[in-house]
Amino acid sequence: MKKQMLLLLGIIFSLSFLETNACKTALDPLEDPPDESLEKFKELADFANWPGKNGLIREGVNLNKYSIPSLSDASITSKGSQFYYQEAEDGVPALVHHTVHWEKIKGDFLVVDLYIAESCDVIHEYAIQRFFYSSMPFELRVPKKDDPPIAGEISFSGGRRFIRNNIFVEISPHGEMLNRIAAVAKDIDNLLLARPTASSAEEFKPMIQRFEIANSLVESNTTTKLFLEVSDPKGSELYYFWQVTAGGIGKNEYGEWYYDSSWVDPGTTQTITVVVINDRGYYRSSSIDIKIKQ
Amino acid sequence: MRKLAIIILGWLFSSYGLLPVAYSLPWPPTISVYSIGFNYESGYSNDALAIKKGRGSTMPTPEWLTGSRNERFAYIKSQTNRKVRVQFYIEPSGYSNSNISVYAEVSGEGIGYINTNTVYFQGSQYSTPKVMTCQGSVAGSADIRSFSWSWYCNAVNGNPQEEPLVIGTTGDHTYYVLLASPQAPMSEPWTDVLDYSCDWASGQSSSSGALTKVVQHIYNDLDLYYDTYDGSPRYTSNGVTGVFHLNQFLNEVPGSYMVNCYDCGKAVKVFANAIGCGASYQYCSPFGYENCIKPIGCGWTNNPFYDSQSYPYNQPIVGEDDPYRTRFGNHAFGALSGNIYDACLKVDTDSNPDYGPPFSESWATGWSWSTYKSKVIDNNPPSSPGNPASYDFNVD
Repeated sequence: MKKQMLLLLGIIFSLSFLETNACKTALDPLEDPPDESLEKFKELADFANWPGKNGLIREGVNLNKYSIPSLSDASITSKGSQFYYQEAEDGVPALVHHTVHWEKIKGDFLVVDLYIAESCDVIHEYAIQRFFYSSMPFELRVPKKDDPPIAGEISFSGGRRFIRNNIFVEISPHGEMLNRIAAVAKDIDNLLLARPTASSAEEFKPMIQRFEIANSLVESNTTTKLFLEVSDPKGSELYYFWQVTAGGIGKNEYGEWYYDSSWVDPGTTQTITVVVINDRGYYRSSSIDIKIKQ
Repeated sequence: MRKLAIIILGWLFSSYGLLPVAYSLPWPPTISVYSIGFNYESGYSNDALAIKKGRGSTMPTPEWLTGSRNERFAYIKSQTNRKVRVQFYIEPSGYSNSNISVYAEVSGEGIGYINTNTVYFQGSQYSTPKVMTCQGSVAGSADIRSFSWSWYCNAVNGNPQEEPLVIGTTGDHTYYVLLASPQAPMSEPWTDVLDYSCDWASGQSSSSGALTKVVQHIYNDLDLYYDTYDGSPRYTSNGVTGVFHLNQFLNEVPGSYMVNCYDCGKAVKVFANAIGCGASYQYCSPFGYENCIKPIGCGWTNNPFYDSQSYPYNQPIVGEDDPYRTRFGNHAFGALSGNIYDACLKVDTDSNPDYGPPFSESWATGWSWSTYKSKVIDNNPPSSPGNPASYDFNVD
């Protein structure tokens, strides 16, 4: 009888154990809220041990200028190669974002995004935040490190994302392109490896020789010429991003930049910032303050 | 003696240019419209709203400049008697101290005709700009409309013309009709955004109707695909206050790119508020297991991150009550007055919504949070979603 009781208790205990474990996989409203902070995420991702945080920085690459062997049967779409200046946000300093979009046929496409920071530790921070902010449940977001790396100093998810020096590369395939991730990652990494490195970003950055406004005291509702002289150490193609606290920037028929003070409140001081980006992923910015006449 | 006086006067006048104006100037004068300003003063109680051409770029004024400029402008639905500021040019120069009476007839879907106004040339061939009132009203629903004005002159220096002088036609003038004053983050809407929003919401006169259309067009028309690998955003850094990269979004759509719910929810707010819908962006964390949904650009799934999973969870449809399938850790959408407008997914609303086929497809629009979660979130395995909270964000 005692033996039977023990057996029964044993069965009840093991059933309750199984049920408890099964429930842990589902969302249990009675559980304490788990720690889903960025710090915890970094710990789970072994972020502290990601290699290359203090390494050299590397020149980026304009992917539109090179052929990618693994994408030789696809073409870059008309909107598919752009450079953007991404302002500082959430503790990550400003970056240059280069994006290229290849398509083979409708639905079979692949996007490569290069994020270029001015130091390796910045790009590491940016990368971990890219993994952290997603719609997936916390535990599924933790990046799966490739061992050995498929590309870069560290890569994740079969080369879908990798870091080479100060450059974070994301590959987003769709349709038939899903099979090419590793090959594309290796091709892009080879292009990056052929670029020079340096201990500071300074030698890669474009130069702004002159940024002035024709008259720093501007009438409201007028246009005023801006003088902008820039150059690039390697003669790269340059892209311009403008920021104004009020008013706007335009270019006239002679290719000259101007500040438009339409509807800007008289008596105020406004700041105009130009960001010049080269197609190797580096930028330089300059700002001027102007006064709007009372 | 009288004859002699006339001869002398005639000689004086002809020799020294002192002939009376009426005799020396060619008739009729050549009059043209030089410029039309639609947003000519701050605010919009009289004139058009302030809009932008894009990031860091103001709309030049006056919007219409003869031969060189024809920009768009914007009004709020049903506004009446809009005012415009018009400047004329007159030839020859001898008319530079004249006045003319002008009016305009309208063709197309305009903001009205213009009754006779007197315009003055005060020592210049360019008139003093004249503010004129349009007799008519703006359309009663969101739209993009075009019209032209045919301008006439019916008096010069107070002398009425039997047959009005034809000045010419201006236009096509194209304008946006918004539902209300635009709101953040598009309080000064960009024309590139209005091109989409006003087209999508064309014919809608309510915020809820316009918002439904915005959701449907984002889902159907922009060739975007949900990121079924890991649900990463493309146009924003996070699901809360992260900047929405609108300039990049506009460069890329329509085009095959992968997005998540943050992108779709923020796009809803941007495109809806450009026309004054008053939408909010809401983020909900945690979320839960989904019934069958059709994420933007994808097929049906009750396991939304199937692309990153191994067998058997690498399939879009898995066991309906399977707790090991993937789920949304968080989710975001547009909202209006507590009702949800989700451009990221459609949902199965048949009697067995967590499995299929068959599927019964519904838009997730205009639902209260309790209705939304009962339709989108599966009841088994149980989920414990948070409450959606609104977040503001900027665009760049």
